[in-house]
Amino acid sequence: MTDPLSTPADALKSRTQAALRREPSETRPRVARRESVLAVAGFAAALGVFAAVGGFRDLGAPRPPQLIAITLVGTIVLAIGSFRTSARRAGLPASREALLAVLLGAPLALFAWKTSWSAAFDANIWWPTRPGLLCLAVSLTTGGVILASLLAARRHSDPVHPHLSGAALGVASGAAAAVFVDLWCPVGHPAHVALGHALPMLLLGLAGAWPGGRLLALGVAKTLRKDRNPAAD
Amino acid sequence: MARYAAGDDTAFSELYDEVAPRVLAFLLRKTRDRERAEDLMQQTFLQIHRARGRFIPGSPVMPWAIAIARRLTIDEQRRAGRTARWFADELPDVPDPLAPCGYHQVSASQVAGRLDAELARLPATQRQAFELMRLDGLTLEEAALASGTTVSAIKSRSHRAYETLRGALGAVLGRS
Repeated sequence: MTDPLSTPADALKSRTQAALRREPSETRPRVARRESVLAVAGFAAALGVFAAVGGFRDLGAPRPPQLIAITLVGTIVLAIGSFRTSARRAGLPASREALLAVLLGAPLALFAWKTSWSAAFDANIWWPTRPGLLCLAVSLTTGGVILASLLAARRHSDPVHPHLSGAALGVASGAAAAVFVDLWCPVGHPAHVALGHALPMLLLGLAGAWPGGRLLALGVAKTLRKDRNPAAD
Repeated sequence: MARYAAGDDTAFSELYDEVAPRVLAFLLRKTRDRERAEDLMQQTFLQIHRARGRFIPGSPVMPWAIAIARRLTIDEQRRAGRTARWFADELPDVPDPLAPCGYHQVSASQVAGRLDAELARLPATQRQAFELMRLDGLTLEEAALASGTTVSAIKSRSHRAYETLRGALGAVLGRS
């Protein structure tokens, strides 16, 4: 597979080892601990937002317990599925196809699931006073804190397509937020669900793309620049 | 790599000996410049070092290393404002192997030159799949990981590239 031309010189190995000694790096146990702490903090903050806006409520129009259970299970499965599909494989990001499936499929799946089951239980009535703007705000806030913690946890981990990974993480965070928002909001009208529940997932996906491209991409190692140009300090 | 990720710095030497020749071969092909290739390889190992805590034990190292090297190459070319001249533009004048020559013999270097030129004409995704599998020696799964796509996509791209190259080079190889 290799020929003498592509055999690195010993001097290069020594230079590389010398550079590594000056470059900070975290070991696997430390990274695992930090990622866990950040993920738990993100979900705890989301739970805090949920509690702060009033927690579970029915707004005077109780939903059948079966409907609550079905939509809740659906959103939980969707959130877990989104995170699993966009999870890293062998230390590298998920495939472009898997990430696009999360990006486009999860909001549509949430919309279809919630509106169809609401229709099945005759709970898809239009509430003129609740077009979905409050749900939009709560979804964005809840999903935003989860997304921020996950982006921080996965910093500098994607050499392949960081923007797309960030977008998929945004949608997955939106799916996690949808679990809380579904408990908070009993409205099942399609227009409300589209604006207040599905749209924020897409918006979080867009929001994740830009910082994702910056935060998830490889960082810049300063060591080599200093080696080449010591006067630059 | 698992030992190195866990914090055993002495494992680096072994890791380097295993990974460096293939990474350097990859970078030499991409840059066609020994100095730049070595520079990028050093940066690749710096990135591996920085991200070692994210390595998942039991995972293959090569796709990860190649993905990092590839990203650094692209970033370096963008920074330098170079256009992505992967192959054909930087090739020296290579005699057309299809042109009549002495005894209708085609030398190995001519075939290699023609292969480079044909590779340059392939769509980027097909070229990448072909290079990762045929030139860098990655398996289907490893090539899919390194390029951030699925195994089936890599398989079909590599196959299409192979068929295109076989069609284009068949006449040359037939003459030789």
